Amino acid sequence: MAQVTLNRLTKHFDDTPVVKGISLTVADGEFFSLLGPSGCGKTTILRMIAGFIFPTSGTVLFDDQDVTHVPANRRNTGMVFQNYALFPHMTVFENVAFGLRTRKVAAAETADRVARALDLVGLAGLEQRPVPQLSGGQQQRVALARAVVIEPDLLLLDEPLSNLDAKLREETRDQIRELQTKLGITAIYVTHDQEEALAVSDRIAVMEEGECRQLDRPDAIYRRPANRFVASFMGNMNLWEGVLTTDGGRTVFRHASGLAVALSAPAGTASSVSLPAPADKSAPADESAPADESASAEDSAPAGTVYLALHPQAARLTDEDTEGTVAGVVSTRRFKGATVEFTIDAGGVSIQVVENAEGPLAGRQPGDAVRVRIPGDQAIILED
Amino acid sequence: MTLQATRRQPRFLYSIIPQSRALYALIRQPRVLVFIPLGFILLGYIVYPAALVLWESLFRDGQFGFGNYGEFFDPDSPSYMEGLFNSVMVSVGSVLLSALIGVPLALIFTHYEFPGRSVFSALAILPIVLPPLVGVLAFLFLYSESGMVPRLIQAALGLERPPFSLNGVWAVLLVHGYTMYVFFYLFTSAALRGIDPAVMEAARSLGASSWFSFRAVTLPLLTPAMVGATLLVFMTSMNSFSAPFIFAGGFRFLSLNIYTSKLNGDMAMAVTQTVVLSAFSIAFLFWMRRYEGRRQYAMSTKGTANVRREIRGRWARLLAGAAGIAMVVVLLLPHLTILLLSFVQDGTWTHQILPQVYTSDNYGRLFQDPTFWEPIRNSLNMAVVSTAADVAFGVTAACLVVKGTFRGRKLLDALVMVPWALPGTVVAINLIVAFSQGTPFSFGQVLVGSFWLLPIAYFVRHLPIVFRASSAAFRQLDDSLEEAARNLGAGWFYAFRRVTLPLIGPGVLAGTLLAFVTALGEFVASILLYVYDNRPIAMEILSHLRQFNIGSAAAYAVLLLLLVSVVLLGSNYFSRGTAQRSLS
Repeated sequence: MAQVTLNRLTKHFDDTPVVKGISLTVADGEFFSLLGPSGCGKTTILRMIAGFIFPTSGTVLFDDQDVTHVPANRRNTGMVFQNYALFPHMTVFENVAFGLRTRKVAAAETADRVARALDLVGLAGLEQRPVPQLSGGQQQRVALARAVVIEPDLLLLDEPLSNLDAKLREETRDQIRELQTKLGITAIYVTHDQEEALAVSDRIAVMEEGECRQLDRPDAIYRRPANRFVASFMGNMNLWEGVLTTDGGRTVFRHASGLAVALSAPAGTASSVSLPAPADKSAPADESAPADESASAEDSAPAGTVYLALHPQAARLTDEDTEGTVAGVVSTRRFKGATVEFTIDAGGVSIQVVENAEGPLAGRQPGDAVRVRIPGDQAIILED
Repeated sequence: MTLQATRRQPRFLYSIIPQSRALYALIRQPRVLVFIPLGFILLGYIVYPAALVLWESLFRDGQFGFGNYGEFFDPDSPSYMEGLFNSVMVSVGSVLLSALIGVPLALIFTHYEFPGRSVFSALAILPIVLPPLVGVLAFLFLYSESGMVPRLIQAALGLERPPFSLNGVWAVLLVHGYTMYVFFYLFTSAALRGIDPAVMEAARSLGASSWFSFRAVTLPLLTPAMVGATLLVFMTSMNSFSAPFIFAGGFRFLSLNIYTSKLNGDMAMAVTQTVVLSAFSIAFLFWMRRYEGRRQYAMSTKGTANVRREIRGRWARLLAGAAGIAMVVVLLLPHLTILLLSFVQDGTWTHQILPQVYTSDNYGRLFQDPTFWEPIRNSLNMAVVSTAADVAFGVTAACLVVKGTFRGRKLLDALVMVPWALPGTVVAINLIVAFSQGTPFSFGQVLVGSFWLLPIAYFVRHLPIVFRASSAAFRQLDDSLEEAARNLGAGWFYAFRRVTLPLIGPGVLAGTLLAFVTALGEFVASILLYVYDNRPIAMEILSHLRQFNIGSAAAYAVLLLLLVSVVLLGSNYFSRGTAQRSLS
């Protein structure tokens, strides 16, 4: 068990910076995820923690010990590779026992520990199977058993689920989390799948181009993305570019198409990018204004360009022509089982809406006219 | 016609034959169209000669029995056994030496980065552009008793005698090591590239030291490559004729013994030794093949890219650089020697350490004097004819073996590959025995003493090269690609021209070029089969050498060397094209 600290960690490959000064601390026993698109540097960070590559600058600490240049074989980390990296010439037993062999563990104890590890991942009895004969899911679990049998200080997982099919992925995901909790082991998990990261992590660092764009608990990242990048990475959030104006004491977000969303609380600096207080929920929202209403913009004070992010679940389909709603036409409808995803074309701006499949308007078809309620109190204003 | 019915046929074959109703019946019976000529050639030029040699080895002075073998294994006159023993020992030694040079080189070039690495790693394959006889000659002029290197050292240090000189078994071994380590180098490099680096990283992260991870993970994964290289070096070494021919002195080698027996007119012993040599080669082939099959691992996809460790220390870099330069010098010296000697005026280099009189006449003569040009023309003609036959036969056979579904596929595969296991001497003796009288396979003609026996030998010897390259190409060709083309509305010819041909073409071409250059420089079968009318380049080099026309001999050698280099570069270029185009 260990706490991992990265200190202004950078890595250049042939003068191309891949990791640009990452500092963060993973607490003892924490399940920590590095989330980001391919090429964002998340795997490079993991490989520096594992000791396969060494940072250009910065340090890696396990607890208080500087391990920046300690070779990989003396770090006592267990790693699960994306393609599992099982030794193809060995049996299941030999693969799992490999780390114990290097630690010169006695044969009897090895057999015992391998058996327990395989039991833990549900592969008891497959000891003598040659690895190539296993299914993808089984290989994945052998890799997991091989990583945990050495009782590592740190479990490193490099996209361990990306080669599994959808159903198996969810199962294994939960199994990994369960195992990590049971063993109380610190885990660092690299993935590009935001759902996966949200489901298992204690905390997530969202990475883009070698930089950490947000580091927080999953629910906080989901509800309050710190910037456009994180917002766009969290599912299909609505993300509109516009300006903020003040209209009769209220802050209003105006999109170039004319769409306007009245925010219930004044937007301020980046730090105020947070959910408005619940008390504001009942505040009336401004009606979406056509372009000719721009007269009201006279007393506005246009700031710089900002972005409004809104979860598709927050938007609602409605038939009522009331304040805070905007007229549109259904352009696509995707049935997802429990929910239905709509794309609404609202005169130059397209709005993603997720409706409960049992909802009264969930049956609307492409071409149908409909209104969308945009709750200003749930909109997030992003400056970056 | 239904798709179901046609699907049972070899697809490729089907696609190159028009889908007319008239031909359909024939396609349904590919045996008729293709198997008769295939069978005729296989039987006539591979199976029948070998069988006849075996049969003849059982007659001694017209008496049926094992008399010849009795003489071979006679403990009282051990000269035959000695040849066999020496051949095997030198082959084992060649394997060890080649592995000792080739494997570390591959490991260093794959795992470390240092200035000049890519140049050195490319130069490491230089020995393969030396045709067998040419390489041996270079070593002769460089390192033998009158060679330039020992005598230069002698002069430089003021010694009374050259400090060393190369001859006998050690010379043969060294020549083999120099020319054959390339197999180990190439096989190991390819295998190392094929190993998923994540597997090594996994071993490291599980606590393995670099040595333990090498021993427990890398080495076992290299086994198939090592077995392949061992096989190739052992066979090539058993085959080797030119090195013992020039250097052996009093030592007996099996392949050389066969030549001498034939020269002395003792055909009974020549065929007997031929049978023994073939038996050894084939037995070794099968033994290694079984081992190879047991140790084949399918690698999963690559997880991470291979990262070469940079050599950073100042001294380590200097050392790596110096070692690299020394390696290049040693590797290039034979080539440079041949080049230098090609400018020496014939008859002017006698007792001097280095030749004194240089001229470019040797080259001028090659192209102007018809008697000098004729061997080049002969070699080109025979290489073109034999390679064309190799392509026609090899590609068809490869297609049938890979895409076909008929019974006897395995047999066809094995028979076509037989010449690969047979030393050149054996192929030559087989053909001499078979065609010293008229046979149905030669349409009643006696081929011994005619122009045609040598190109036939080239054809048989190099058939496995084209066959192997083509099989590999067909194996990579995904059937669904052609189906996709057909599904998109392409006619059979369009699909063949735009999909099948571009995909198999580079592989087939690479094999064809290799067969072609090997035929150009062929020596072993040539020395047993050539007649004045078809004397090839290698024989002309040898005869100039016997007359001490060193310059002329070297000029021919340079020409060969250039041809081989150009063709191999081209072949490399084409096969790289395939690799880039493959999706998975």
